[in-house]
This record gives sequence, C-alpha cells and structure tokens, in this order.
Amino acid sequence: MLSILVWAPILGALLISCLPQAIGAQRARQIALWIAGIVLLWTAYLASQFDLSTASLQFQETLPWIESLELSYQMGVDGLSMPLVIISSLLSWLAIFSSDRQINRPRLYYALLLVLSGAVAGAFLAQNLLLFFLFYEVELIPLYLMIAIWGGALRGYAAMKFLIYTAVSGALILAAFFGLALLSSSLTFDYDVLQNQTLPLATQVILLTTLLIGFGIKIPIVPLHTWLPDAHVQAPTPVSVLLAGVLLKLGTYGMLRFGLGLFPEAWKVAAPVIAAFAVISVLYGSFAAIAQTDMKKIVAYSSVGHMGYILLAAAAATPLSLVGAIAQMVSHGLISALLFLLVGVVYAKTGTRDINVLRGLLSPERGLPLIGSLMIVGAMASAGIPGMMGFIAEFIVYRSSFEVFPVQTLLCMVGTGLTAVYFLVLINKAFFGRLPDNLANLPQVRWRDRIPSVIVTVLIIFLGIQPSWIMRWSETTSIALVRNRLERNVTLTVAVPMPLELSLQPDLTLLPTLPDLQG
Amino acid sequence: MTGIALSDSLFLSYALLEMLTLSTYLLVGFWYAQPLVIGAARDAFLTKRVGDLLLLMGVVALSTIAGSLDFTHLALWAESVQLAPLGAALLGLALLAGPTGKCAQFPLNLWLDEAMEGPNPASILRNSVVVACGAYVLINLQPVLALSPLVLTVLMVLGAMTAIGASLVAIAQIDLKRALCHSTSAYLGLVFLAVGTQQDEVALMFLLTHGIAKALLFMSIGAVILTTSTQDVTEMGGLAPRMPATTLAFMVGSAASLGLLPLGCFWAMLEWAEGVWTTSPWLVSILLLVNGLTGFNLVRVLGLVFLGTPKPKTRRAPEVGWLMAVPMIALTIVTLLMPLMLQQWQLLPAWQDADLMLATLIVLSGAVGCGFGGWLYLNPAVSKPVDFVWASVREVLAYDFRLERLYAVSVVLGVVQGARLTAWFDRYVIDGLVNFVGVASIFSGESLKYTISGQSRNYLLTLFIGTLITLTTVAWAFWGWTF
Repeated sequence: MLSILVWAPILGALLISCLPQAIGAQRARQIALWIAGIVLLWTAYLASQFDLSTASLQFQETLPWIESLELSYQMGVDGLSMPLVIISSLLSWLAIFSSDRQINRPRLYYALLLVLSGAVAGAFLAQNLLLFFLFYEVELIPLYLMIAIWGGALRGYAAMKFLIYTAVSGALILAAFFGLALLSSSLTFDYDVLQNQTLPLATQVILLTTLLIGFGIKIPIVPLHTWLPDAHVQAPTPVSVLLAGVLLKLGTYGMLRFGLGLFPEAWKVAAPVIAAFAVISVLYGSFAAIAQTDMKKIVAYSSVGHMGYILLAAAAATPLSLVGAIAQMVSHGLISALLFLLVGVVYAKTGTRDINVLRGLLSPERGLPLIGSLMIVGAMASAGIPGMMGFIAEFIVYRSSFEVFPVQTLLCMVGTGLTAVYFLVLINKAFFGRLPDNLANLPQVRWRDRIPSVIVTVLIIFLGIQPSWIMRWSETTSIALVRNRLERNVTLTVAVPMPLELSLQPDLTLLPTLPDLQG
Repeated sequence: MTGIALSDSLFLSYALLEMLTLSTYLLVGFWYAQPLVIGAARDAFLTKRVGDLLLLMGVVALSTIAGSLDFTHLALWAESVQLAPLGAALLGLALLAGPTGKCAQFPLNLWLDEAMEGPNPASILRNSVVVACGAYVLINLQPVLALSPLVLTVLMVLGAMTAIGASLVAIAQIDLKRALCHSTSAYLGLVFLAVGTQQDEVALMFLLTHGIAKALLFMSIGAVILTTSTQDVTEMGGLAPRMPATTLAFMVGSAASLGLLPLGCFWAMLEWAEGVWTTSPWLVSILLLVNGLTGFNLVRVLGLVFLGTPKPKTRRAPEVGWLMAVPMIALTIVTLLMPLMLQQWQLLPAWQDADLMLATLIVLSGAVGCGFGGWLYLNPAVSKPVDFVWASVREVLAYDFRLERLYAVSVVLGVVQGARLTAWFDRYVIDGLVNFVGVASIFSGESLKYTISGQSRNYLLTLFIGTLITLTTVAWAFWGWTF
C-alpha cells in the first residue's frame, strides 16, 4: 500500500527519462502531472482508511533486504507522518503544475521532480534507520541538480553550499544511527527495537547532540542556516515550494521521530538548550528578514523564524505541544508554499523581486490584483491572524510550551509581531502605492498561474476555521510518544516530575470553540 | 464585532479582535495608491499588533494559570485565586495592553488619528463600534485585572492621561475627522476610568451613548467631506444654509455627546460622576474638563464648518443625496430618542435620587465650554486661526504631543537597528565564516598543487622528511618522559 507512494513517482521518472528525445515539454509535463495526481489520490485514499484511534504504525510492510547489514525494507505510517505525507503529495503535484511550460530539458526536470517526491515520501514512511538515511540522501541529489541546472545567476555557489551542508547533515545522522545501533548492542536498525534501548544517559546525550546537529542543518537552526536563503533565492519557484514546504519538515520530522522517539531521557536534558536555540532562531530569522530587500529572501528568513516555533514545541514535548508542532509543520508548509508560489508569479511577470523596485502591483487594471490579494492573505496567515491556519498552529504551540518554558515562549511571541513587520513592509512597498510606468505593461496573469496559489489559500483558510481536520491525525500519536517517554522514565528509576494522567490530558478544551468563528 | 459582543470566551474574543485589526488594515488601506494611506494602514496595523501581541501573551499565560478562558469561569477563578503580586501585575498589564491599543489610549493612540485617511463609512464604525469592542473585552476582563492594584492604577492613569491629552489635541486639529477622532480617544479614556473604578454598568452605558452620538457626528461630517471634497476645516464655512439636514445631525450629535441635559451622554456622565464621587472626587474634575473641552471643540467645528462665511470649496455645496441622508436622519431621531430608550430599559436613575449638584456641574461645564468656543468661533470679530495660546503649545498639540517621535526613538529604532545588526552579522560573521572555510580549503588545495612537480628527487625528499618527523614523534612519545 505505502510502497506505491514511493515507487510510483520513481517508476514514473524512469518512464519519462526513457521517452524519445522528440517528445515535447508538454507531454512530459502531462505524464508527470498524471503520476503526481495518482499519488495524491492514493494518499487521499490511505488517509480515508487511516485509523485515528490507534497510535501504532499502520499499513505496515516488511521485507528483508540486505540482512547482513540489518537493512530491511520497513514502511509504516502513524499520526506523526500522515499529515506530512499528505502535504508532500499535495505540494509535489502543485510544484509540477506551477513549473514553467517552456522549461529547458523537460524530461530531466520532471524526472528529477518525481524522484524527489518519491524519496521524500520514502523518508517519511521508513521505519528502519538505514532506510530512512538512504531516502534522506537520495532526496539530496535531485534537489542539488535542480538548483544547479535551473537556478538563478549564482546557482553554482548556492547548489554547492546546499550540497555540502546537507551532506554533512547526512553524515552526522548516519554517525548517530551507527552509534546507537552498535552501543545498544542490539545490532539492528529497526525503529521499534531501538526504541527500547537502555543506554546510559551520558551516551544518549552525546548521540542525541550529534543527531540534533544533523537535523538542525536541515531545519535549519540558526547558526547552521546560511545555506537556506541562498538555495531559496537561486532555486526555481517549484523547487522553492518543495524545499520550504516539505524538505525542511524532514528535519523536524526526524528530530521528533528519532530524537524524541529514541532518546527520551536525553531529550529532557537537552530540552532547555533546544528551547534556547528555538528562541534564537525565531528572533534572528525575523530580524534578518526585516533587513532584506529580495522577496524570496524575506520569505526564506521567515521560514527560519517559523521553524523555530516547531523547535520550541518539540522541546516542550507535552502531548499538546507535539500536536502543535505537527500543526505548525503543516501550516508552515502550506503558508510558505503559498508565499513562494506568489513571489514566483511576481518574478515571472515583472522580472524582479526587489521590493525597492516594485510598487503598486495591486492596481486593478494593469497590475496583479488577485496575486496581490492572495499575498496579503498569505502574509496575514504567516503573521498569525485568526481565521487562518497559522494562528491555530501558533496558538497551540504557545499555549502548550508556556507551561514548560514560559520565558522562551514569550520571547518567541515577539517573533510573531516581527513577522507582521516584515510582511507589511513587503506588501506596502511592492503592492501598495501607484504603479510606476516601467511596470505598466505586465504580461497577463493566466488562470493557470493562479490555480496553485488559490488551492493553497483555500486550504489555509479552511484549516484555519476547521483545525480539527489536521489535528485529529496526530493526537493519539503525540500522546503515545510522550507516554512512552514517561513509562520509560519509571523503569529507569528517574524521578517522574508530574503525575502521568495529568500530563497526558491534552487540553483541547479551547479548540472546539473555533468552528464558531464563522458565526 | 457582533461576535465579540456575543462571545463568552476570551480566546474567541481575542481571535475576533485580531480579525478586527486585519479588517482595519484593509479598510484603511482601501485607497492604496496614496502614499499617506500606506503609512497609515501600516501604522494602524502595527500599533494594534503591539497591543494584540501583549494581549496574546496575557491570554496564553492566563489560560495556563486559570485553566479555562470562559469569562464566567475567569470571574469565578479571580475571586478565589491568590497570585504573587508581580505575576498578577504582569498578567494584568499584558491583558490591559490589548484594549489599550484597540481603544486608542495613550501610548497606542496614534493609529486612530492616522486611520482617518481611510474611507468614511469605515471611520463611522471605527470610532463608535470598533473602539467599543476593545472596551467591552476590557470590561469582561475586569475581575482579572482587579487582582492587582497596580494594574488598576495604570488603567486609571492611562485613561486620565488620554482623556485630558486627547481632548486638548482635538482642539488643535484642522483636519475635520481627526478633530473628532481624538475626542473618541478622550471618551474611551473616561470608559477606562469607569472600568478602573469598577463601575462596569456605567462603562457599558457610556459606550452605548457615546457610540451612537459619535456615529451621528461622523455621518454628518462624512456628508460634508463628500460634498466639499476636503477635510480641512480652514477651507470650509457657511454650510448651514446649504446643508440643513447635515447641520441638524451635527448639532444633535454634538449635544448628545456633551452632557447637555436630556440627551444620552448626560445620563452616562451623571452615573459616572455619582459612582466616582464617593471614592475619589478628583476624578470628577477630569470628567468636567473633558466635557468642557469637547464642547469647546465641537462648537469650534460647528463655527468653522457650518457657520461663518462661505469659502471657495463650500460655496456650491449641495445637500447630500437620500442614500446618505436617510441613515443620517434616522440616526438623528434615534439619538434624540435615546433618553426614552434608556428609560424603557430602566437604565435612567430616578430623578429624585440624582445628585443635583453633580448634574448642574456637568451641564455647567459643557455650557462653559460651548460658550467659550462660541465666543471665539461664532464671533466674526475674532480672527481665525485664533492665536489664543502660544504658537509652540498649539504646535505640540497639533502634532499629538510629538508621540510619533517617541515611537521613532523607541520601538521603531530598536526594531530597525536590531534588523540591521542581525543582517550584518548574518552576512559577514556567519556566512563569512562559512565562505572562509570554503575559500581556505580551496586555497590549501590550490597551493598543495604546486608540490606536484614531477621530479622524483623532490618526492624522495618529502618522503624522507616525513619519515623523519614521524619517527621523531614516535620516539618522543615512547621515551620522551624517561629522557
């Protein structure tokens, strides 16, 4: 069942690359769209069959692969990965749809996009540590090539920077996985076996730190983030969408799944440090975004800031905060995808992304009124205005993290205010004002340019009004993740700080009021 | 806004308040092609956002401490809970900040002034209902605020400062809408004082009477602005014979917002004063001052806009069309009927219980203000603009006590410099370090390239030296300590 999500795109990529040279860009695009569409439908079907009441893995598949290496083909999905798989399938389709029709070397381009989509799905589904690592590395190659071939003027520099950073990240993660498997002397890479390791705390902390630095590059956490703005600015729009919407989530997903899941005791030791880095990321990313003039850079730095919220929620590690972390992953995925799509349209029509050059794009006759309006929606969603996805996710994150880290949470909230500042600067400069003459003859925006952004906007608003649609996936899994940690605490005779029942009650009493928002 | 009045949950109220912020931004930015509007929309959003953000912090903290965000639950909780004074004070101040921003109280009051760049129908709502929403949330939060005496003091001080300051500023404005919107701030300051002295019913009644009167005022000046296409009072005059319905509406609105005897605000003011009189009589003087100054201001506007000699822009002004006139007249009638409605709802105090002295004082203060204004502005002998006080004072008032400079040197400066510093650090330190590592590795590779000369004697020499170094190190490691 799950393998289709991985292998359908990869086989599709093979098919596209085997097509004869003479075939046009249109045909390659249509095939890619069909394949991505099938994957999306299949994801929807899986989601409809998903059992919400259990926290265990579903649709499991196990095949021995290379037994001498303990590498087995194990797939499964639970409440942590299901929302991310859905987002990934959706954004892959949108990325293919929003690709330039007259792109150079179309067969290679669409093949790479499909490989990327399959690899990401594989990484979300893998339940064997080595298998996860394989997919994590496979996803790197198409992304590198896409930035290096279809990127902007400085694409060589950006792509190389991305490659080196992410390769280091992969190496660190692999080191941590090896360390865990060897030291726990179970000599297996199966997730469910390693979950019950009983290593001494000091060893756990060392392994966890290695792992966190590895995933921290991908997320990115602040001192390790400089590859992101460069990669985003140089990458073509569909790649930016996937990079911000899906690939960054691999970092936070890995952190929750392998960091919190495998090293629960060490996680508690590391949590204050993680929260501190979350605050640094949020404030640093927001301040840096204010000073930028390139629209893509603003959105890229805002990604750095908003991923910090996920980090904060992950550090708090209560059931509610994990729900919040997953909701924030989905919300950031959608919102940043929307913003990048819109910036892509603006760039395609005006030829620039500099907010000091652009002006008055909201003009109804000759400007980009719908794109501008959607941009305002996206910016407001990102700034956490209620009625949209961003607010729900951020509120849950704040509400749940406040219990554990009050000061850090308050500091992160300042980041929300700063988000409003840089997006208002962007909107005021680029979209308000009088349209200057040199921008007066813009090419027409067609509906096919608008459709992807409209779809994402509808989703953002819909999930903002009906948030339980996204939160119900993750509730049981979050409780299970924390319960596992608490039970292990008992067996390891570490003092339990709070009564089990109390900390397991997800305080969602606030949320049922939300559907009333419309009224 | 209806939602705020209906909601029984602080969380929902917060969400709706934020949506109001967004809609203000969009409405103010409606004429987005004008440079002033852009700044105004941005400032309105960001100023409110500062308040909302602090409110959000308060909401999150409160929901963690109190466990639920229903107002009824909160009120019960506040009665029984014992909080540390510092915690209670911080919590209360954070909760206070949201309504402060929303009700345009000092120091977050400038957005209302700038928001007057927006279309007039939005201004009507903003001055009467939007500000009331903030106050309504404040009233609901009052039990929690009362946990800390410091918070109540801050609330009263803010209210008092805004009430007096904004009344003074209003007098110095030449923009028609701005002259009125500052008086909105002043009245909301009075509402803040009412909440601070724990008279919630009076605060609500005040919101109702003021909201209706202010809406009428804004409708009438909206009509004026539409026909004259200017907002500058110095360019107007002599409109009364040309626009009788509008003038009537303006006069009724003025009378209703002043403490003139039968109309709405008088009763609210009377109750207000009676409540305060027993606890802190000095507050009554604030009320009287605000009332007087507002009277002065309204008569000033009346004199400049509706009476006097016609100016070029007002000479050919017709009365507005029925689309605008009908709601205006309807609201005029409602305003006139306000006392009857209050009586029907049994909100009016019994006449014999009323403190006659206070009633007289209120009426007197309004009358004095009006009279003084009339003496200056209805009298053709006095030249306009009236240089009654020093130019420097007028200047300071006209520029809202230079609050903009205060923002510029505090919050704005901090954010801008923080952003610059971070961007510089990002570019030159972090990214610089990364690039340095890259350059260093390429450089070392490039320079090592030259050791490959193709001459075997050089290779042998390198090999020999390398072996020597290795052997020395090993020898030192083994016998180093024994020598």
